[in-house]
Amino acid sequence: MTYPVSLRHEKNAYQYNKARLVRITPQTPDTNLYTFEYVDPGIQKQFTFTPGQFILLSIFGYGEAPFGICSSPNKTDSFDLCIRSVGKLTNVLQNLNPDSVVGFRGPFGHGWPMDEVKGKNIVIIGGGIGLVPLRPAILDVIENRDNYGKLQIMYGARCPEELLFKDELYLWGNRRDIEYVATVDRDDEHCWAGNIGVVTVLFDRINISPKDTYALVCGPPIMYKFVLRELEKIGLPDDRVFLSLERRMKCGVGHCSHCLVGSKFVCQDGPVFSYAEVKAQRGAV
Amino acid sequence: MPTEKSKPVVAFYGLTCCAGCQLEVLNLEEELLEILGHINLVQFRMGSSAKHPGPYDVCFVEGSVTNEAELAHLKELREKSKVLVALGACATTGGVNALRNGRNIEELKQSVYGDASHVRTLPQIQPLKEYVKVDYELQGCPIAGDEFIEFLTALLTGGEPSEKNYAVCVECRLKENICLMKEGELCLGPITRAGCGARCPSVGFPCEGCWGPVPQANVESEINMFSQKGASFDVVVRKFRMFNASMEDFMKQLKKRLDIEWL
Amino acid sequence: MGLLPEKVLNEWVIIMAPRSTTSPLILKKGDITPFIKKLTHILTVYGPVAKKTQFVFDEISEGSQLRLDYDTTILPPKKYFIPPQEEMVRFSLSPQLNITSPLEESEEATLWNGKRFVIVGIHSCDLAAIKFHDKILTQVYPDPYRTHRRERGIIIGLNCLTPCEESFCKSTMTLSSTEGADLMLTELHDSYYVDVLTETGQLVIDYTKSLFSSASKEQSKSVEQLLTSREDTFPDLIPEFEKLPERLQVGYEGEMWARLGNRCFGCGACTLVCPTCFCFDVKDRVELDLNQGSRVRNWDSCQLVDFALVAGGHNFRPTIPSRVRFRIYHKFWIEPEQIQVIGCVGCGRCTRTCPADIDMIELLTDIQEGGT
Repeated sequence: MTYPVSLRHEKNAYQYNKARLVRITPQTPDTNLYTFEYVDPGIQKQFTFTPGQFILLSIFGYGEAPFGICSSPNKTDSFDLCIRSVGKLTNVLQNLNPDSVVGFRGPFGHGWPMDEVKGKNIVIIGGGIGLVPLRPAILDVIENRDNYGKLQIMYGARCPEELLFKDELYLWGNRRDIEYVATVDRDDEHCWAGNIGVVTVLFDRINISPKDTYALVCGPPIMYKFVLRELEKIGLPDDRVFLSLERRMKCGVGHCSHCLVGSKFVCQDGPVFSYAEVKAQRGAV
Repeated sequence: MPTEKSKPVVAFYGLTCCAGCQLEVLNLEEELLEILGHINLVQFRMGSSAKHPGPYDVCFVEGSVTNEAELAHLKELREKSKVLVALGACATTGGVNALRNGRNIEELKQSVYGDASHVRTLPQIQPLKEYVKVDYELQGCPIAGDEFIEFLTALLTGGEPSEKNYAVCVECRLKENICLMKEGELCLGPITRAGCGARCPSVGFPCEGCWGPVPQANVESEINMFSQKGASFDVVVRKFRMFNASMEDFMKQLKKRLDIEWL
Repeated sequence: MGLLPEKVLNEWVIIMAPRSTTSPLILKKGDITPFIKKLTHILTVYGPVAKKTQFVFDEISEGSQLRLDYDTTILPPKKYFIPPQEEMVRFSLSPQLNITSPLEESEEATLWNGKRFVIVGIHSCDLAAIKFHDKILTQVYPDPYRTHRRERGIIIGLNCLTPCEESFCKSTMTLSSTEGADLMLTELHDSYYVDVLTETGQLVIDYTKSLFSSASKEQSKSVEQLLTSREDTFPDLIPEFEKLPERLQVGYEGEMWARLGNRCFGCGACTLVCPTCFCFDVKDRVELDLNQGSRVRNWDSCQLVDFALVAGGHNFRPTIPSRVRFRIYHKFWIEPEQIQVIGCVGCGRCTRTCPADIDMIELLTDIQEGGT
């Protein structure tokens, strides 16, 4: 029998840390890169996260929402979030002035299995804004290139204007130690010389060997079904395919139940799951 | 404190209605002064006879469009206003004004006015959003003061006002009201949008639906439940039409089930 | 105020192992009024009171308001541990962002100065639900707001002797739950037979000692008989209840969800009155001064259309049938997966409150019989 006293816990998951908006760097017409720095230098110094983890951003008076952290896990002086303005909070966010103070809780959840993929080949598959939580993983591989095997990146966006981190994409494309391919769903402006079609067309452009290979996948819900089918064809086992799931989240710590997928909390057990884990959960993908 | 110049210019207008929604705003006695500290209220016939030609930052319009002149007025207000808010049941569902929808309008005119040759009306009463772009809706007959304040606060802070996409039942349970459906009454609560704070059920009256339909309203189940409670066609139709005669989904479902030509 | 020494009050929260500390006692029904009166001197007292034809838990100032003969209440006592609306923080926006939490240890901020309380007359099903929350809301991070209230609430349980309508507590095996209660009452003729289950309970007894007398052996025997006789008087309405999770393994795509969806209003009433439901939504509220505000959590419901809606417009459970199914799977499959306890205590409130007359016993029996 548990008694109230055992409910006590030193971790208060509802503690907010204040951070300052350092700058906003536009990415696409509706998506910006936001750089933040904790007001308390001590907290900033201690701030660490695993690529793929998320953080809860509060603009008091407007609300709180979860966002995948987007910067390199090796960067210590600040951190980045890349956010598309699609809702109440994000619309307020894009109009904030630099030096505005917001609140953060977290980071929370399980990110990409960076330890497990050490020394292995990695295939990264991102669709649209789904590239955001993958970027810290990519940056970590690039910054510690010797720790990992082959890096293959497949990225799809709706149209060329919606490609994120365009400068970096260019660099990735030109590195010999990265195989990078991209596609766009459509090119109405005729400014794109690359592949056209959804992200799965890239499976014809790239040769993925299933041996010692892990796939890290993030994109819109509709994308998973098709990408998973392709990965299965290649022969990648389910426990080496990792997905980041998106769900409505309020608390971030397994209390509010909005993000339940089967018996898993996306906020605590995820947002990154292996496909093997997810397969057992109904309605996950 | 914002200066008079930086405050948003706010106007209230009424089309065909009882003006009860504007009265509800006037009734916010405790908060009214604080509200006036944040806005430049230029047109509000409940408080002042002053007129203002516009343009407006926010324009609240209560009432229904019943004739061409009102329609022209509404269109003009839309053009003059950055944000147009439909205020109350008459503006958001057509309210009781829509009771005449589907009836023979000439007969109705005759019975109300006798010689009615001079009365000009549009054939149907529709929500304002059927005529012009409406940015926000505040439902209810009359509106709820606390919803008005919440809305205004969100607007003033540059936030997005939140919608209550759930039924009156939520508010009834939170108030621990005894469920009137369970008591055999015909209550529209399960298919009516919340916001009133379960105003009627809390004093023992079943919901009449003045906040309009909740999203995904299960109208079919409601009709079934009413029939199970022994309600006649006539009673069911009257209940559904009271505030929602212009709500297509309601009327379509009723028609499907009750086969009444004029619905 | 303060007839009970402050020190003792403070010790409530550090009481360790619960155990039956004294032999059973007797409280005469006529002494309920002075008992409650004495408690109100140091605690806020809640208990079942009549609301027209039904009952609700409410604050008690007079023993005569207390209706220990109640069947069930509209809302369960969870409202005292997870209030329908609760401020998580208060903030002011200018001249600089200032955030204060009710969890801070300062005297005035401690849950905004909430008092210690006692709830009198909680039935076994609701006790089981409180224990359920103790478990499910502490999986990784404990919910600090609920914990705070839980530590400050004393629970006086009450054994049910007659089954109430729509309930199926014998099937859920919550009919004889006493865990979580500090004192447990059983009605015995013109008295209440009192089991002292924890040291907190003993503190209450010590504080109101003069009202209690020792129970005789015969009285103990009578109570034991009363309680065992419930095996016959309470029907097992859903046999093999514990097999529900297993049986839900089939039928996820079944037609029963569409059938239920046709009837269900998606109004969420069933989840609001459910003693084990705990989902919440969080919203910021700014006051009319446009500076002060608070972040508030409100009871939410998985039955509502916005529950699984994400920014950008995708809804993971867009239809009523998909949400009804989720509710059933959450209680009878997901929660057992997570904490090995089925998320239903058989109180029957969902059936009593459903405006579409959906009957939980029927629904579960359908599943048990493999209905799809």
